[in-house]
Amino acid sequence: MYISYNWLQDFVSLPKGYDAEKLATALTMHTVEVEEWQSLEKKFAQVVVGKALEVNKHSQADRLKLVKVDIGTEVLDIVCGASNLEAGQLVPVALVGAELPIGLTIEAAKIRGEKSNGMICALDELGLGDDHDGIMVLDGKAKVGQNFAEYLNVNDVIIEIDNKSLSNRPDLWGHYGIAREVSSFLKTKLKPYTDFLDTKKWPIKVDGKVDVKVESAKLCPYYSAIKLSNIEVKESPNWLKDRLLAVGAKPINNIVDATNYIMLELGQPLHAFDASSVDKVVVRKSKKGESLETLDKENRELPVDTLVIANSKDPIAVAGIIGGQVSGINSKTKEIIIESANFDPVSIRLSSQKLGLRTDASSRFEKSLDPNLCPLAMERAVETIIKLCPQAVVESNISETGSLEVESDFIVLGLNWLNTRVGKDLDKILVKNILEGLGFGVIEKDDDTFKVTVPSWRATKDVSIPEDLLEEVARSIGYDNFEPVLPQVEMRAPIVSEEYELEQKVKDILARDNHLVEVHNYSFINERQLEKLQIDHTNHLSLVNPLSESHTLLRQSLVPNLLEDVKANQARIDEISLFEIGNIYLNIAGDLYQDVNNKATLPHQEKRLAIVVAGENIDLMARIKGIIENLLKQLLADYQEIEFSSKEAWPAWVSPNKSARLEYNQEVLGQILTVKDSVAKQISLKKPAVIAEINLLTLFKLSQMNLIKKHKESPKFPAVARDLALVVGNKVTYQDLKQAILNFHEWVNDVELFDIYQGEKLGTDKKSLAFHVAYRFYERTLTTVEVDEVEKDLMDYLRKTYQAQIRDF
Amino acid sequence: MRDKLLKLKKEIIDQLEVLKQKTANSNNLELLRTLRVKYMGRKGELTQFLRQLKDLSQEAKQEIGKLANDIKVEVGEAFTQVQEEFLDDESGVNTDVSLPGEVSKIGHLHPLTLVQRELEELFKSLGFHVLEGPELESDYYNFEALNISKDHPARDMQDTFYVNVPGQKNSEQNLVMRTHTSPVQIRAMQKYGAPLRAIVPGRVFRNEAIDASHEHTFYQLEGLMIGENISIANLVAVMKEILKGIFKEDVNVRVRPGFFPFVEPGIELDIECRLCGGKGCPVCKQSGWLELLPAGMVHPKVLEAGGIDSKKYSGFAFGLGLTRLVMMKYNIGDIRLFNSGDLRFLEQF
Repeated sequence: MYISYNWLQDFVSLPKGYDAEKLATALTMHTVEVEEWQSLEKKFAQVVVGKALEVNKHSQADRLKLVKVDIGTEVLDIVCGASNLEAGQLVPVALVGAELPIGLTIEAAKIRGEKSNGMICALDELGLGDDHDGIMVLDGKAKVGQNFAEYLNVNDVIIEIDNKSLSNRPDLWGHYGIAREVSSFLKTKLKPYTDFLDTKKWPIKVDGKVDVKVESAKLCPYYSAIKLSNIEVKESPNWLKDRLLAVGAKPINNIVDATNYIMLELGQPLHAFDASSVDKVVVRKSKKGESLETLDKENRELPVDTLVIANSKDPIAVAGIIGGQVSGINSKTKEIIIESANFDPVSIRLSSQKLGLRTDASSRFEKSLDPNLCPLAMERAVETIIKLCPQAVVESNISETGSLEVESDFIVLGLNWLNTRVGKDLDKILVKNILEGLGFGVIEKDDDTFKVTVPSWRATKDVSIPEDLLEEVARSIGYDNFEPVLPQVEMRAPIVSEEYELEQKVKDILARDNHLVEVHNYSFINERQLEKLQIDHTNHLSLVNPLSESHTLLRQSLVPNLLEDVKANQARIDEISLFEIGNIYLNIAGDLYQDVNNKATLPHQEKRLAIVVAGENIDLMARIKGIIENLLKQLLADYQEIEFSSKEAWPAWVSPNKSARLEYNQEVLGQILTVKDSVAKQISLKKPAVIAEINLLTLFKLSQMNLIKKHKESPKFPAVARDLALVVGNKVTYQDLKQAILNFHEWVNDVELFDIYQGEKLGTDKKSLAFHVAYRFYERTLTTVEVDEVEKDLMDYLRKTYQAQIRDF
Repeated sequence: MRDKLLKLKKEIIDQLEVLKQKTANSNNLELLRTLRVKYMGRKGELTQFLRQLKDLSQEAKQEIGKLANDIKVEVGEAFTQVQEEFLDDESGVNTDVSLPGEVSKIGHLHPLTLVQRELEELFKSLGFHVLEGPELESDYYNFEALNISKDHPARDMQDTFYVNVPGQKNSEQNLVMRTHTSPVQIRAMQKYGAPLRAIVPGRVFRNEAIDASHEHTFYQLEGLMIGENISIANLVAVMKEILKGIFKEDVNVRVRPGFFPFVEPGIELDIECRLCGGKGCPVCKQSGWLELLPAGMVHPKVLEAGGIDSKKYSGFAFGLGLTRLVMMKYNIGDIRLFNSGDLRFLEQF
């Protein structure tokens, strides 16, 4: 929202030496965030009035025009795309080098082969509102070559307030509300708004009331209307246009400008109807099939139950949002009806959402406006219109329906409580003055307690509890004026989430010791991604309102996005090793409740760890297993061997011969999966890739069972080392063989694989595995004969159980 | 005799010194050998001298013999030492020290992990727990319990991702991707009660089109402190302490009103622009200040939703844009890099 420094001074006098910069800072520190402030002169430093001398067609582009513009000192060639541009018009021209308020810097350019030295501006390009309906055409008072700010005739500074910081303050959507805040922190007097009103001077010819019927009182707590005749619709006088332009509103005609002026001043939106199409006013919900051509010339279907203003037959406006073309003020309008009403904020917001239309009116109504603004705005409107059309006649009394009452209880404010919560002893009188300065009523109940009544403009939404009053007091004093005090607390060691600590440990082991790179991927995937991997996506949770087709489903595995990461890097990097720790979201009930009724639970979510290694000419399976073993060795105090088994129903995208299930102590920890060649081709994965996905919760459980390291004494007697080269059938696994050897005899202390061989010499269904076997007895040194004996028995056993042969070549 | 012997020793040691002082030279070893032959060789001066000893009287032999022998040993060691030094020098002559070292691989943690950890350490040292919560949340915890009413604009579809369960109608939209880490405030209060000091780092989601400065997925770090008589003065003091921890120096701040439904009052804490020092630059939009820490006193309704007696306890909450902080720290201009999986980016950290 834009606030004019001059306009504010209609209501509050600013001290000598005060300026916009001081005001902007004070507003930011006490009330709302000022985004920017700028004098109009500076804002339009390089914008001048120009006259379009010739408008010709651009040979290369239908929509563009070649314009010769006289700016007094020279004639510029400018390419312009506006459809409303005609020769002879006076227009604002941004010169080369101009920095427009919207952040655009004008440069000399060639547009489709034609020179363009400047830009003819639309209102929004000048930072004057959001109207982009063609270029701005200036009126007769403009002089060619004149500075645009001079044309605007305002020696003013415009303060831009962040609308978001106003969202809880319905009272601040006009100059008067801001002036009230200013008067509060400057401790100067605020001019009562009634000073601007004098209904006694109205030229009244009462011969009736506007026939108003409010059918939906809940959605329209208050409605008032008045009829004026003998109206002459024309251009507004300069004083009015200047004020509107200064704060970014486009002048239209005297009647519409008057209603806009009052909205910008008081924050109460008004609407003016051409009375000829309004036999009566009905405030009702829209019916099925109703539509309306709105003032922006769009024909809009009205969603059922949209609050509308209708005549005896059809809607003529969408209540609180936009008027209809049929009842719009036009040059032929002679009689008007002015509406000043209060609408239900939720209904306005929903309708504006459904229609995809936010207007100055709707963004105010949806903030919960004080209905007491309505009569003030109505009176001010009639007076302004009479000022603009002195011959106008007031045809009726104001017809009113509904109530102006705002429900509000008084608030009991304990001063002791207030002091404790702000952390400073405040002077009682100061507190009272602050509240009264903002319009609150303060009664001293006892020494420690105030009984506070809330003014209607603060009671609709934002002030209802003592904490709200605390805020009023604290922000008025200024938060920077409170001496910071560190809290005194009991000394307690923080609770540590061991799961979280484990996760951090995992990250360190993978990145620091195993040289992996940590990635973050989106929590979302899409159907196509899963289809290519032949994964069923019908059971995935999905976004109701996705932003794009690439992020529609909630992931149930980290794998698909991790494969995308490999693809993103495959052209540049030979060997890719990544990991991610992140949530997956499953369509099964979890154990966290959705609310305090303890009925429904949230879908199950768990953290997974996924590792991917990709590259040519490396043994990917060995690499990923090495990483996992390294990880477990560091996490589990008494690390035994992890089991890799290939008994599993594998997903369709996985190559079963090159995949394994990870088991530790009978717990399934995860899987190692190799992407099938055919699938790799399908998803344009150019490198062989192996992925491990591990359940972090299981890993956590295992680590909890294996927390404590116990020191083992170093052996006192040396081991006897023997090599054992075996030839076995292809189906015998290393793991089985190793376990068999290790468990064969208590003296077998360690078994280490040192060679694998497969080749013609052995036959295609055989392989050779060679082990270092260490024999050790803790009581004494073993003799060669003893070891020979055990070794022989072992060989017999292996021969019998695994049909193993000694490899003797 | 004795004097002569000592003189000879001094002569030899001096000559060795002279040789050592000379600049490194491949000839040095040769010179040393010559010197050794001159004195210690079979016909060397010292050898000759020692031979004469046998002609001395028994008394004289006893008197001078030991000294002569000590000198022989001492001079011999001196030669050896100089020779070793020369050999050391010589072995280094051909090494190109500018050649690259053997490449030792390193892995990389995500920049968010790095900064998150820094902050966690800071907060842990102040006695805060580190907590987590579900990313897929219920409407109740994400909005209602946080005093965000049914008609609040934050609930608009353009701000929040709603989640559909297969087989359920869209109208039963009770699930959202959490739009902030604040729901964990409620879950933490319910679980731990008061007093409480906790931070919640985590992933949050907004239904916002992605460009260089906007993401629908980013990270926040939420903080919460609840106790008896916690005041606004406490809030500001703790925030300042935290900023000092983050930036490793005192930081100029200003505190101004802000509005968030789950706090009352709400504040915005701005820090003096780190780039221009408060003079005004494009980064701080000429204001000299950067918005960094939205915060406030926990709304009594929020305390009650967390099962905490708002008459007895009060507290404050604050939010740090973790992703934004990382961007500031490492000068990252494009927010999309965080989830890009691009190794050219990730390997820089």
